Amino acid sequence: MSEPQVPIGIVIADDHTLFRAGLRKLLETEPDFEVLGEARNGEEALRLARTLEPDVLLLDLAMPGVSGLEALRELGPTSKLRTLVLTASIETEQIVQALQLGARGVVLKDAATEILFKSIRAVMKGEYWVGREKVSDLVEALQTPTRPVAATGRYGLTDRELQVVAAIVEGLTNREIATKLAISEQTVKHHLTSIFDKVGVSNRLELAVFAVHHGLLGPSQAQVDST
Amino acid sequence: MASSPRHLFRTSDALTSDVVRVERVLATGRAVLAICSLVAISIDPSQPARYVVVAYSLFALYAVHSLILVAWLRDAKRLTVGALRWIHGADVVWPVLITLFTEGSSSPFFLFFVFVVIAAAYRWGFRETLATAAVTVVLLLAETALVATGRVATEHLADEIEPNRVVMRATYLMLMGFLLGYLGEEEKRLRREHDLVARATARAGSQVGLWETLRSVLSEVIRAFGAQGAVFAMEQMESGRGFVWEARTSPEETDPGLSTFELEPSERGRYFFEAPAGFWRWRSSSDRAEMVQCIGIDEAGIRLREPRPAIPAGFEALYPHQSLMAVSFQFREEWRGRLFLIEPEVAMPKDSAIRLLRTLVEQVAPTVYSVYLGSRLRAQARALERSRVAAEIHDGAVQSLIAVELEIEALRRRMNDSLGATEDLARLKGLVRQEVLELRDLMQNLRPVDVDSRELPAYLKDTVEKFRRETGIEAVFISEPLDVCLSPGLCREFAQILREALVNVRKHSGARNVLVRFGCENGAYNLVVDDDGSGFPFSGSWSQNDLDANRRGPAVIRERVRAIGAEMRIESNPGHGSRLEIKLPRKDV
Repeated sequence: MSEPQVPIGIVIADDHTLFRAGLRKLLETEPDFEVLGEARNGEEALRLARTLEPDVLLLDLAMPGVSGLEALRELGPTSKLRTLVLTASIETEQIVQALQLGARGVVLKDAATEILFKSIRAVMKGEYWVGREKVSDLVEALQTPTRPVAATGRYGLTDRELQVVAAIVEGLTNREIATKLAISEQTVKHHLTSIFDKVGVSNRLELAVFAVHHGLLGPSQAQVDST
Repeated sequence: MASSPRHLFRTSDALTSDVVRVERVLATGRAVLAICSLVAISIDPSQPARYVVVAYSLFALYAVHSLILVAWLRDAKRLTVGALRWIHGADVVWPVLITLFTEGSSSPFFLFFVFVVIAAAYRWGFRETLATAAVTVVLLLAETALVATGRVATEHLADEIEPNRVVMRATYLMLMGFLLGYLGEEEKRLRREHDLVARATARAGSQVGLWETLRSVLSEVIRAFGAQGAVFAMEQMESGRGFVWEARTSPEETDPGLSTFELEPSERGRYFFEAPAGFWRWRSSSDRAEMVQCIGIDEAGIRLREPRPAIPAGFEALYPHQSLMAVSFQFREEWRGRLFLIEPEVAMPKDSAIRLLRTLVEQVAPTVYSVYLGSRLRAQARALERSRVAAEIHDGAVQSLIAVELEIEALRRRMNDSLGATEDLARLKGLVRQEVLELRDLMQNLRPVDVDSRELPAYLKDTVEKFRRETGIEAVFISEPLDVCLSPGLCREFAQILREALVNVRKHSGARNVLVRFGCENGAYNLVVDDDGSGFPFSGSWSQNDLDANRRGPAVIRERVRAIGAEMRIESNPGHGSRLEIKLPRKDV
């Protein structure tokens, strides 16, 4: 028989009363979450974080008095408390700053409920969370705060297929690809069908996005800069 | 000696209040002269020795004539050219009559001739004064000759003619005509130059804004220098941002039309090339060949020997001309600028015209600069206000809506679905979310974009990434390493176009993937936004003209693209996606 799960203790720090109330009600719908307290500003957040010792602090950055960033600085990166920054808009600079100050993640205030829940659970597991995705470690999060985790590999693609993928990313049409690779258009279509099957995408654009995210671009595209 | 410049010193048949004022002054002087003379001969019984009755009558008549003119001009608002000629003609004739009966060429009332010359100098310029002096000399000599030959007056006067004195007085009149004419000419030119500066400055003002100020000032300059157009280039020295205003005359419009654009880095050399502080270069063609001549002045206004402004071919191509005048100026350590006049035409020495233009620019530039500062402050205030409104929306309405959304979601999760209410709550939540997104877009548009060419690729990349994070739509930005050479204004437009395009993708396309490319191909910057959404309600590749004609495609983007002189194309495949492509020709290649 397994031990009953200890709920995740949460403190909400936000200056907007309605938002705090709504968020509390939403979190309380999950049995493994327990809202321990609410703070209206950074000072209160610091006090509650020290007295209530929650597992997770949901912290708004823009608060009167002691701001969210100042509170983060005060808490320090070594704190056992896991801070998840709530923000209206995820700016790259903001992410880096928050993570450098010890936050475990940054999530949009109006993110889908499931994403919010996932992010809380992810940081509880020691992972980092940026936007809609978890990030496996802090170094990665700081180095590439704008890029999702991408598993790299060839996905069983042949060299020729990788060349076709690169051409798709360049935005070439089938005819242009055929000319460029000195093959027929029909062959290009065959290659594309095969590539779609192998990587599991359904259209060219999805393939291009997939290729960029998963490092499928060949050496010729080494200079391509992507998110 | 300078003659009256054609445009700066233009006179009109409709004589203005200034002319009337001049005549009033002269009428007063004339009256004082006449009355004093009358008093003088009354006090000195020895004068005149002969023709007492005639002389007294003439002095009395002259006094009456003077007083009538004083009275008439006191209320006059305008004067015709004919009336002015009659007044001046009478002024010339009176001394002849008076001296004829007061000892002829030896008359002590020779002063009346001097008054005529002074009056001409006061009224007009050099040529008119010299002509008046010449006419008085001719009349003096004619009078002497008539007296000497006994055709008028009596032999008593003929006996008293002193040839040396006549010659001296004639020379004296001509010399006076020359000197007074020269001084009068210079004084009038100075006054008109001051008038020009005053008019130009008066038309510059913060109440009319920068655009109207520049339009008015350039119109005034074009009119004063008889030019066909003016080009005013300014560069902020610290940031390197530059702007150009072009004013061109047209036969249809009384005022020149004005247009402006922000300088791209590659275009700066077109306007800020190596050149003296002021120059006037023109081409003159002879039977053999076309010659290029140039006059220039340095910072101190001293004429240079053989100035050679390095006018770039790009400038020549953009502003074809036979004659070009330009002056440079600097305002503090903040701005430098250059004003070009295309085909100027003033009948004054060219170096004087360059100096005048420089004086004008130096005096008007601070006013224009203060208007610019005012405009900038207003723009900053507007931007701040927009940011404040955006912050208010964020802190108020958006937060409340998100809170409502959270409450609805909490309620939906807790609710037993037996009543089928969860579906309604989900729909309600969707509506609230839509409103949040709309407000986010509004906030986005309210916040100013601040990006220059070095930052542009990174800014576009951030925009795409932010879009991906916030919407969950897979979005990728691809850009080759690129040396972007665009003005900040164009960079802002590119950023705004991408923002708008992404908003459209989120709102209307239902796309799952978006690919944004930014690069340079075939001498043009390319921005491409590909999505796999529902596409536009047409099939195929449509140019901007097609889109305009059919009123299809995103109107805001169409307007922005048109404003920056770019080309736009939309490729749509309904149900499968669309591609928006913006091409802006590079000017630095």
